[in-house]
Amino acid sequence: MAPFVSKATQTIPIVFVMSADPLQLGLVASVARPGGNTTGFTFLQDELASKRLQLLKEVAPRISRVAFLSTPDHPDNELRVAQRAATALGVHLQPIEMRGPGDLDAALQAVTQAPVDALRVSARYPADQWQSGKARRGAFYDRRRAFERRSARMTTVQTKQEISETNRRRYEELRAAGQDVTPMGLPEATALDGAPIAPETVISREQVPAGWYATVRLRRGEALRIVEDTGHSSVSLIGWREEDTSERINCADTVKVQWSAAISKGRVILSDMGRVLLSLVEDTSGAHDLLVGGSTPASTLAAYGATSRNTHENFLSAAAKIGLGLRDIPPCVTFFAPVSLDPKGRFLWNSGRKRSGDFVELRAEMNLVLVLSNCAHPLDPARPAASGPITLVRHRAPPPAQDDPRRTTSAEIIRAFEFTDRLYA
Amino acid sequence: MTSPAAPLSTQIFADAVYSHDIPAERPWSRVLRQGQTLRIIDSEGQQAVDALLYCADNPAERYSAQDTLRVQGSAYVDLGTRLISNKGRVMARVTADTCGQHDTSAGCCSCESNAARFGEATKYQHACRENFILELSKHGLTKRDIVANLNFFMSVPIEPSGAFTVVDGISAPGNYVDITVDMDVLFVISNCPQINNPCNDFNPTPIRVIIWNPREM
Repeated sequence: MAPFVSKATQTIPIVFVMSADPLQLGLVASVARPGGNTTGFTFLQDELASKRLQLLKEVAPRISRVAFLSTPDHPDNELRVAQRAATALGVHLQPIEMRGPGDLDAALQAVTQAPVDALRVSARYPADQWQSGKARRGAFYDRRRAFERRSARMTTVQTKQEISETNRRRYEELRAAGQDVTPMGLPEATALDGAPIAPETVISREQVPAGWYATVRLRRGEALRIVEDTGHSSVSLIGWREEDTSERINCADTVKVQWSAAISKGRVILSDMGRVLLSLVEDTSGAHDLLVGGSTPASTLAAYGATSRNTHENFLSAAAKIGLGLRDIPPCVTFFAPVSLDPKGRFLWNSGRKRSGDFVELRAEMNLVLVLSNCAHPLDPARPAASGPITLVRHRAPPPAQDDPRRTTSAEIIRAFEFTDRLYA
Repeated sequence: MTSPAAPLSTQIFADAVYSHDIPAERPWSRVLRQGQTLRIIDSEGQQAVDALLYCADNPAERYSAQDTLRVQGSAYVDLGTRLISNKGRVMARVTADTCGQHDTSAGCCSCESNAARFGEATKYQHACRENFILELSKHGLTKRDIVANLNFFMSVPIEPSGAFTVVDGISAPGNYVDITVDMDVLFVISNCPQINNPCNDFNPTPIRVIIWNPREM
């Protein structure tokens, strides 16, 4: 407006407020001494163009090419200042011109196709007019709030720094939920005389002598109860998905996804594919080990003075009988193995947490082949080796109750169940 | 123990038979001969390095996290830790460590576990298991052969309650760990691309590996 008015009169004083450069427009003779009948105020920020680029380089140090979205019709020096700063920072600046909102799609297309690491939007660009965008790279722009309000549809336009902050926030929220909230919602341990199995649901029953193993096939929805008849033994478990044995029990994901190295009633055992292998639907003990593993020839020799039956060799024999081998044997879960850690990370054995008649009940969430090895845990200090029979009861599991892990545990486990269900959808 | 910021000794550079920078997010593998030492340098700091070891002559024999922790009697890998195979043999030992905090219980990240942990959108992000699968394929090995790995420079405290958390790495730029192998070992690394937890400070960076022969006695 000011340029038109100044042409109309040489006498009436004119005061302007503008975003452009009054020198370039010929409104004033100099900034210090405007002269004539025109003076005013400009929120020109050309000098900030270099600062903005510096900041962008600071938050994303590895960028080397930056697209600069500018409006060439606007009389200012921003692009020139930015170009000088880019040279000093060792960044290549690629100007992309927009003369109006109609150019938006073409400009963003150019940005996404150019080999650039970041996008800098001119301070002059009327961000309020932006309705949507398709840029997927880091962007830095003024009037950000106005932009965000109007661009709910815009796909992520975030710097690496912003992505990292967002991800850290999500991680902390998940950690708080997983470690502070989830444990409070876990069901109470099953009573030793609790959760009777209805006789008509039993499919098979087997007692496994001390030192031996059993291979059990479970269909999705069936359950296996493992009863520690004497309170003296421990039971190590590995398992594979029947249809694809490259998918198998994964202790690391089980503890990592549940934020806990301790599993108990209401927890699950995960496969390596982000799916639920087994749910712990009943558990009288809550004292199980996922870190130390089962006994081996060497561990029995060291503990008892002679190599005795051990979990490593049990797993090998069982795997061989279904066409699998050493390569297929993952780290195991050991039930009734009360291992804990002291503050320095040393393993402790808590004998007081073992009771005669302790049991766990595992519901298969996929079709499975399981191997169970009934051997003393390598940290069990009993000499001679702790041993006793275990009883396995395979039965049709009742439908999930209100406190079932499928419904309650955490966002992570609810997702893992969704992924599992898709296998059988 | 050398101070974390100490430069590599000239002795080591003189003896080095191999040196390589592994770019951020990429895998690497090499057969180490008995007695050789591999130094893994966290060049820019706070970078998790996932590693697997296989007996070069019979890859069915491989690193076992559970056997390693059982033999050691404690849950973390540090100076002096013997890396035990699934056949109970010592594959390698940690012979130098300027970081002091390494994990072997948290496994590696995968597209599938990321999806469960952080939401389904993260399924389409690069992950260590993708690296391991591709690198192992060069040696005739497959997903079956991926077991619980070592996580050098990754901090995973396990509390007495069992609470298990990946926290910010403590390694400073230039921190290193030396692994001396007791047999011929196929050593496989994934320079971890995870950006959803603090193991890489949400910003994966390059690492360097250097190998040197045993000193003459």
